[in-house]
Amino acid sequence: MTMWFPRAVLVLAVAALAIAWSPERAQATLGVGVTNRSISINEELRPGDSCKLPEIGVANTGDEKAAYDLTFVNVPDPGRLDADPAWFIAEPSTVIVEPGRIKYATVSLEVPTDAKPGRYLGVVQVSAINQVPGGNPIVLAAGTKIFFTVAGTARTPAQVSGSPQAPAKDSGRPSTFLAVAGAVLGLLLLAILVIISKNLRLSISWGKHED
Amino acid sequence: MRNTFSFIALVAAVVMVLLMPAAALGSPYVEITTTVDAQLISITTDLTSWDFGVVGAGSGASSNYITVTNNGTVPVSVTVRGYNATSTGKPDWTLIGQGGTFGADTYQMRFRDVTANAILYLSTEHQSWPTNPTIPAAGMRSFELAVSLGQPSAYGTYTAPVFLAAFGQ
Repeated sequence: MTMWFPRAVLVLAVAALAIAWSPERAQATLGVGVTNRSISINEELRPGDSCKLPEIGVANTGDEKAAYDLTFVNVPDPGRLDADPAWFIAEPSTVIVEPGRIKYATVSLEVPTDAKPGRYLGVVQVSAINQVPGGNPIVLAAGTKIFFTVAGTARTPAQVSGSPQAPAKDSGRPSTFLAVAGAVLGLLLLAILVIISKNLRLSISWGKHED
Repeated sequence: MRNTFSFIALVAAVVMVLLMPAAALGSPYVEITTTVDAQLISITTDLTSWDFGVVGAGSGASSNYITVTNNGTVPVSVTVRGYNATSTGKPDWTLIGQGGTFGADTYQMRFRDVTANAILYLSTEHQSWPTNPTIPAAGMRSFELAVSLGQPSAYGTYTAPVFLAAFGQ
C-alpha cells in the first residue's frame, strides 16, 4: 500500500497539471529542393559493381540559410525492390545553402556482391531541419528517385579485364591487363635507361662521389 | 653533371614503374549512362516549427495548420512521418499509429489533408495515404496537425518533430 500511494498521487497530480509542447512558433519560411526528379541508370548493374551518379543539386527555396542532410530511404513501389540505403554514399552528406542558391553533391552506388537480381528503387532524400530552439521542428524533405536494375550474376574475370567479351559499359572497370601492361612498359623504360647510362659510361652513386 | 642526369633518369624511371599500374587501374567505378529527369522538386511551408501549447493529460489539443507550397516544376506527392517525443531527463513518449492503444507516455498525431478531408495517423515510418495528395506545380495544400495524449508519468516540455517529404509525380 505504501508503494502504491506515491504513484497514485503522482498520476493524479500530473493529470491535474498539463504537458507543455514547446512554446515557440517561428515565422521564417523553410524550403527544400532537389534539381532532379529521377535518375535512371540505363545499363544493368551486376552484383559487386560501383558507379557514380550525376550530381544532385540541393536548392534552398526558403528565406533563411539552412543546412541540408542527404540520406537514403525507401519509398514503396509495387514494381520494384527496395534498394538498401547502405548501398548509397553522398559526398558531402551535409550542405549549407544560402537562400535562393543551389549546392551540388555527388552520389555513388555500390551494389553488394550478394544483391538479388531485379529492378530497384532507391531515393536520395534531402532534408532541412529547422534550428529554432525550443520548437518542435517541421522537417522538410525532397527526394530524387534512383531507378536501376541488377543482373543476376557478378562480372566474370574476363569481363573485368576488358576482354572482347566484355560489354562496352565495362570500360571504366579496373583493368588487370592495363595494369600489367603499364608495369611491363615501365620496367622496359627503366632497362633502356640503364643500358643508355652504361653506354654513355655514366655512373650512379648514392653517396659522396669522387671524380 | 652526368651523375645528376643519371640519378634523375633513374628516379623518373622508378616513378613511372610505380605510377603506371596505378594510372592503368583508373576509376573503381563502372561506366554508366543515365537518363536524368531534370525537374525541380521543391516545397516550402509556412511553419518551421509547431506547438500545441499546454495540453491536458489524456486529452486532445487545438490544431496546427500547415500550408505546403509546391514551388517546383512538377506535381509532387507528400508523405509524412513522426517521431517519439523526447524531453531531457524524462521518459520518451511513444508515438502510436492508427489503432494504437493509449497507455502511459503514449501519444497520437493526426495529419489531415484539409482539401480531401483524409486523415493520416503518423508513425515513425513514412506514411502514405491510399491516394497521396498531389500538389500541382505552383499550387499549395493545407494540412491540419492534431495530437492526443495518453497519461503522463512525468511532467515536461516535449519535442516531437514532424517530417514532410515530397516526391515527384
